[in-house]
Amino acid sequence: MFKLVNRGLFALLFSLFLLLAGCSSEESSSSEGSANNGNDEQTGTEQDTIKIGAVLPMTGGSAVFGEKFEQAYTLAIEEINEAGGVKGRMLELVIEDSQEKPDIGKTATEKLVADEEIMIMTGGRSSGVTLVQAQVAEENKVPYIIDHGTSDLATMSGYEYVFRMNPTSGMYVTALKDYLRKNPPEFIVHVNVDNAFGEALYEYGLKDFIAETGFGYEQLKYAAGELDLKPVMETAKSFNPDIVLMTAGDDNDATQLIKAAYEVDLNPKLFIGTGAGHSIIGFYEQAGELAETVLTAGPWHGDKNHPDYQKFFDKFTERYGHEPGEHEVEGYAVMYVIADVLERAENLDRESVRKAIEETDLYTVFGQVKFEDFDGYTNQNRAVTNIAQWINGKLVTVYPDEYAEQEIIFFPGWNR
Amino acid sequence: MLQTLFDGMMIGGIYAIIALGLTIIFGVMKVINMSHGDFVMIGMFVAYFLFKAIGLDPFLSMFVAVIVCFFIGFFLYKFFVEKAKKGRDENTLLVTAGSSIFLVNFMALPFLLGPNFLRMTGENLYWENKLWKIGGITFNASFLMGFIITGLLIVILHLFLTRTDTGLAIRAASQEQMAATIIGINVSRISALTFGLGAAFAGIAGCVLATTYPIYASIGSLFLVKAFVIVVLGGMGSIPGAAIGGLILGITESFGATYIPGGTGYRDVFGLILFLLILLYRPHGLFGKGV
Amino acid sequence: MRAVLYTLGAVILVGAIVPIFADIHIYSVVTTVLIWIMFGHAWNILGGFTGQISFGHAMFLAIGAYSAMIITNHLQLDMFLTLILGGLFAGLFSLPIGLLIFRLRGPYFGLGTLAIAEIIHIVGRNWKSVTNGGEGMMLLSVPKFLGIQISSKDEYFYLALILTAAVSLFCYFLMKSKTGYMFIAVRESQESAEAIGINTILVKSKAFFISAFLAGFTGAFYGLYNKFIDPDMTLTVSMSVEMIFVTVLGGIGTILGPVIGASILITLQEWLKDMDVLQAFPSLYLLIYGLVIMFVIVYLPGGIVDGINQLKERLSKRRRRDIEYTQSG
Repeated sequence: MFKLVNRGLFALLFSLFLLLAGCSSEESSSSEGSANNGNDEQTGTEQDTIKIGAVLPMTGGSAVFGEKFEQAYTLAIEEINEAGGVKGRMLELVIEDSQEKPDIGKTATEKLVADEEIMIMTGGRSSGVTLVQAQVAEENKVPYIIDHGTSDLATMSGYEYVFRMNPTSGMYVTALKDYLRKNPPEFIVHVNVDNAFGEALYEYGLKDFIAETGFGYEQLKYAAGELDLKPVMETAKSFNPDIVLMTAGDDNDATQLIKAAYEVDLNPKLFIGTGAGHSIIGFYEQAGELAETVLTAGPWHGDKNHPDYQKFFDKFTERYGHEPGEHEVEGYAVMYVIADVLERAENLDRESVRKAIEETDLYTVFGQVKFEDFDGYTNQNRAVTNIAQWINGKLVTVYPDEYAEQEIIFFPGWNR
Repeated sequence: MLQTLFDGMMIGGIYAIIALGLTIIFGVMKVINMSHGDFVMIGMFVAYFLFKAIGLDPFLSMFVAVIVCFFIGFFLYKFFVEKAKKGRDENTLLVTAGSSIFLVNFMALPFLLGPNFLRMTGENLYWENKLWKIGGITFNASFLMGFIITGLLIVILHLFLTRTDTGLAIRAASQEQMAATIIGINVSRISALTFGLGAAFAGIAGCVLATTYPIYASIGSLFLVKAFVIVVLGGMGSIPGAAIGGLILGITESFGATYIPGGTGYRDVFGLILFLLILLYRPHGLFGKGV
Repeated sequence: MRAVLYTLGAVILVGAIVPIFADIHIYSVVTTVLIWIMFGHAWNILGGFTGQISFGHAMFLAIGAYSAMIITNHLQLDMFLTLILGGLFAGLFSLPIGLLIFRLRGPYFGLGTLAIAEIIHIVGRNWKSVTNGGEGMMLLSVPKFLGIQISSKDEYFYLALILTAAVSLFCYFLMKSKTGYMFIAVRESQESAEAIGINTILVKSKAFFISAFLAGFTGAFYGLYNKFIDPDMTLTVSMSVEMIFVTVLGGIGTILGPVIGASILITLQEWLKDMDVLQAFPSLYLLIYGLVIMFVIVYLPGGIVDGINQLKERLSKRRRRDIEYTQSG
């Protein structure tokens, strides 16, 4: 008995020691770092940067998106720093890995929050991590601008420190609903992903619309990441729809969907994706010819003819060897919003930064950014949504008419 | 209806290759290999890499994938699993689960797969979106090839196990390790060989899948539970069991998802329920001789 | 009684020392460690002491977490009651499952639990009216534990510390009781246990109930602590496997196993994530993490507790030898 308990105390102390060793080594390493900087180089280099925190999936199945944001952030920050930084200080990016898991994302956000030099946060990527990050930001009064996470709840919960630049899931289909009202379909089959994005898109975007218009509508769910989607498309075909609406969280799912539609010979008048997976170049790279004439309804990614956009496009493509898409535009734009906010902030503290965000009214490559309260949302940018179409490997805006570069081409049928 | 049946059979054929690998590993050394799905991913990577580098057809890359996966499996067994076997049963499970974390994140290094979703595409890839129409049924060409390969593999494996010395040694080791040692079989070497062989099967499946599915580091986990289901369905260690089990799972999934209302969201449930029923009423599987 | 005193001492020590160093991030890491200690204990009752290796404990975690979120959002019951109810639901759920699958042995039992957990996972994703599907569920009100509001990091930390101590002591005394000895008897040999008149199904059901109860109880706390849950953070195979990891690496079938296993594994990942050397590639830290797990299992097959014991034994043997040597010399 004594031996057992004795052993117990020993082990408890040992684990406690390990814990503290782990934690304090973290602290000491960072404080040593700053001390060195202060002594060896010119005094106060550490003071000269303004830190921006971002929680991103850098490992796991969504790491590809984390990398896209990292590239976009880095490019924007380099440009801003080359132009003299903000208030004479350089911007510094701190990325924490979330593994795309909300519980890991929570700890990662708290790590950023604990660093008092971090003035503002962005990132989040998936709906779940974004929600958790928003909660932690609100609790700890750290301003957070969401640049991609679409969960409607994050700007529906009355948070004061949480702002969102991109449209929510529910808002993704605003332009599409407009189009459908003007061109009523006979029957829509909605092949929907069972994750937060797909569910919120239906819940906040389509549900009331379908009830109100009385369009024929059938929702078929599939699991995110599922590879064999033939049965889903086979079922879709049995409804003989003229519109097949497809919601995919990433370009993988989007590609598997269209491949399955091809294999079962499903021929509607229009294939319409809802942004996300369908609106990034990865979709065309993976699906190739099958992606031709597929439409995508989602956020409008800025005016592609604007000189700022073209400058960004060229620079990004040259630097990273691939073209920027939805994620990169958002990431690049949000850094300019943040730089603008920090420039306007009265003092460099989190409270002043929050106040400055409220006053934002800035044109970026993502379009106009201004945070407002409307339709039950708070601090939400009224991002413009559109419908674009894949034509010869490029996304061409086809709706609404004011932004349209050309007319919608109907799906010609599979050439099998 | 007929189309759904064949769709199920085609996908089931590929499940069967993966499960064959898992079942021989389990049959010989009673190890549940949690990293089995990752060998499928490695097979996919080999096919992708060779196609990009020298334009090799994935069905030819298979021979390279077999070698690569065999050696990774062989050494994984020699250096880790065998040592972990000396501990409790669950230690082998955890060591393979650890190796799964390692393999996934190793392959996610930028000079290998990186974080990307890759896809085999190209003018010179015959199999891309290739459909074969045979008597009113449309087949995904590479899956049909996969199906034929499954058949061939079963024959080859059967001949190997019944006609060669090594094969006989594997069977002896799977039945009675102690006795096998006594009659002079090097059980350690045979076990490592079997582990490598099992991994090689997963690699073959990876090459078949590479033409139709995306290729990324963590894709293996999608196949793991399915492979477990099949192995139990057919009986742990049973080779015909794995083949039939694969077909049954593929067909169940296809029919469940296509014909049960609202079934698309519950796709994987049908196979799992079948799995539970088999587990409860025939715990040694449809073809199990008793483990 | 000594155990209580020592645990109390450890609690006071941790409770006093951690806040000195802690910022919000350290609180977060320590609380996560404490949560995983409890999960480890839960799994250990069934897997370690009764010898039934389950791959599906995530389902009990999820039942606890979801019921706690729903209860707190809609009924605003006291958190103490909520946690107990979360555990109770999970425990009750374990009973029919136990009856179904206790006839399975060894790996078959594990695969059976895995299958059921996967079914629950898919149901959880699709059963929108209860779980809110993939969109997940947010905590909408601030829970009170026996009347004390629990919301900030340090409040959750102290509560987790107390709960962990309570759960650890509970497991300790359980394993000193007659029931505990029966668990071990079943683990060592079901046949012999039956021969001396133990109803093994009943004993296994008891162990399963307690194990599921603790997993649900901790799951409830895990849900409330994260203030958000979705199917992927509660119901995946990796959650079940993580419970096995913390227990087996620490030392399966020991009370201290989960304590040490969780402390080391969770901090190890945070520590690796922060190491400068490993920043070159994003996936490098998890690669090393996987490798460390493999090496620990290979070189410390009995877990870290066993490793420490062997070390101590070797040291004391040497001391004894030294004494003998000096005496003879």
